[in-house]
Amino acid sequence: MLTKVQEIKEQVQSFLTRQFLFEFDEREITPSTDLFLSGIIDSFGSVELVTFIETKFKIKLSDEDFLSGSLKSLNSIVKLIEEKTINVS
Amino acid sequence: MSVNNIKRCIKCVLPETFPNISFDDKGVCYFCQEFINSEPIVIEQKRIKELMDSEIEKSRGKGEYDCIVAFSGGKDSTYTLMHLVQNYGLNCLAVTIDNDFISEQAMKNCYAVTEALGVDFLLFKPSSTFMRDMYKTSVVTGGIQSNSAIKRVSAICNSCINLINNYMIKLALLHGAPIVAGGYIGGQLPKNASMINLNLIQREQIKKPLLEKYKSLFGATSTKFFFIHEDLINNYGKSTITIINPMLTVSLSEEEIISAVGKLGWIKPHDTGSNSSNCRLNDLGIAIHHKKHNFHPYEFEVSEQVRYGLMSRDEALRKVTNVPGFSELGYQMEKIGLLSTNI
Repeated sequence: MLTKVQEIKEQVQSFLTRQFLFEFDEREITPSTDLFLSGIIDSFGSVELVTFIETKFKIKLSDEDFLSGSLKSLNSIVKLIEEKTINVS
Repeated sequence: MSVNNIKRCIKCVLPETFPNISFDDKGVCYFCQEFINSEPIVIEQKRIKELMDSEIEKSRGKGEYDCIVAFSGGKDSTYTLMHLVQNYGLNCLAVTIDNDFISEQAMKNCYAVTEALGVDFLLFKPSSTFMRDMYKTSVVTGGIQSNSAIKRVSAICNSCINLINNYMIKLALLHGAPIVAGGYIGGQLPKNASMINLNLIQREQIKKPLLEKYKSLFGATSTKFFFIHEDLINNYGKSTITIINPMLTVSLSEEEIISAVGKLGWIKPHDTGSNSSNCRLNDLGIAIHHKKHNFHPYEFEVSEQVRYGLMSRDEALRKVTNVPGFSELGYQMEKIGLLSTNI
């Protein structure tokens, strides 16, 4: 049975790979890879990402979440969602 | 595989060659399945329009212009400009970028429409040498476009759109205008990009890797086209700018849009291919995209129009199976210095 964090990770990973057309692997694009720096997500893509997170997990993201780098990788996104969903539940 | 023999979604026209697509047992694509379960279009448009209306009211009279309109002279941006001026009474600056391939009729349309609406009109022509090099490099060098952009737009258009978007935001900062408007329609943008409160610092952060790439590929002069200096942002007085795409709040077919803008003296050009109403380079972008990725770059856009009931499936099919041949594109290829071996 999946834990809550694993569930979040699966949902985010599935969205990212489908939307931005790449696969995670152990060498080039790992769960810690900066998806903006690697050119996978552009400015329009960031809108899609924020919309997905806010709609799917019913949380509100702030500018600070972006500027602090919390949305840059799969791992950091999962951590952010985990923190925000725990805070609202 | 011929464009006519490809398996396509039975509801829209998305082909099996579209990235990461999947179909259910009945042949309905993932996007149509998602659409069926999403917020109804009428409610979605109403919600977006209310947000946009409220933002427009808050922004009115705050700068030299209320709004900078990215005005290509094509039908959609013409309708956008007309809508903002006539229905909202906004003080707009219409801005056209001459990319060296604007049809003569489209340029006449720009003058006729801005004259009829009584708005200020700014024409900016970046150096032809830069633009031609940018187009050629965009085709020859892979990896400039993000993966998600490949689904929506050709490499040629992608670079041009990035340049245009940046210039519009720069002008808004210079004129203290709180809003930038584009004429994008459904499928050309991600959902929920119909109104964005764009954090300018955040945008520059996201663009950083892209900018480095542009500098190395297009030369140091590209910074003036793709970069916004921090001082300009600081002088603007606020950290966000509002980007709106009003076409996403109206349900109009292509014919209805052409009919409405015709009243301003807009005439459809006949040298811009079947998918553009202003640019003579568009067909080359389509042909190269199709050859490289095996799907038409307008598949996503016309499929969205079909889902929204704004285009018949037959019309959409006609558009995406009509891929321009390279033999008809000699003028464009020669002008940007592209050889058939480059493609």
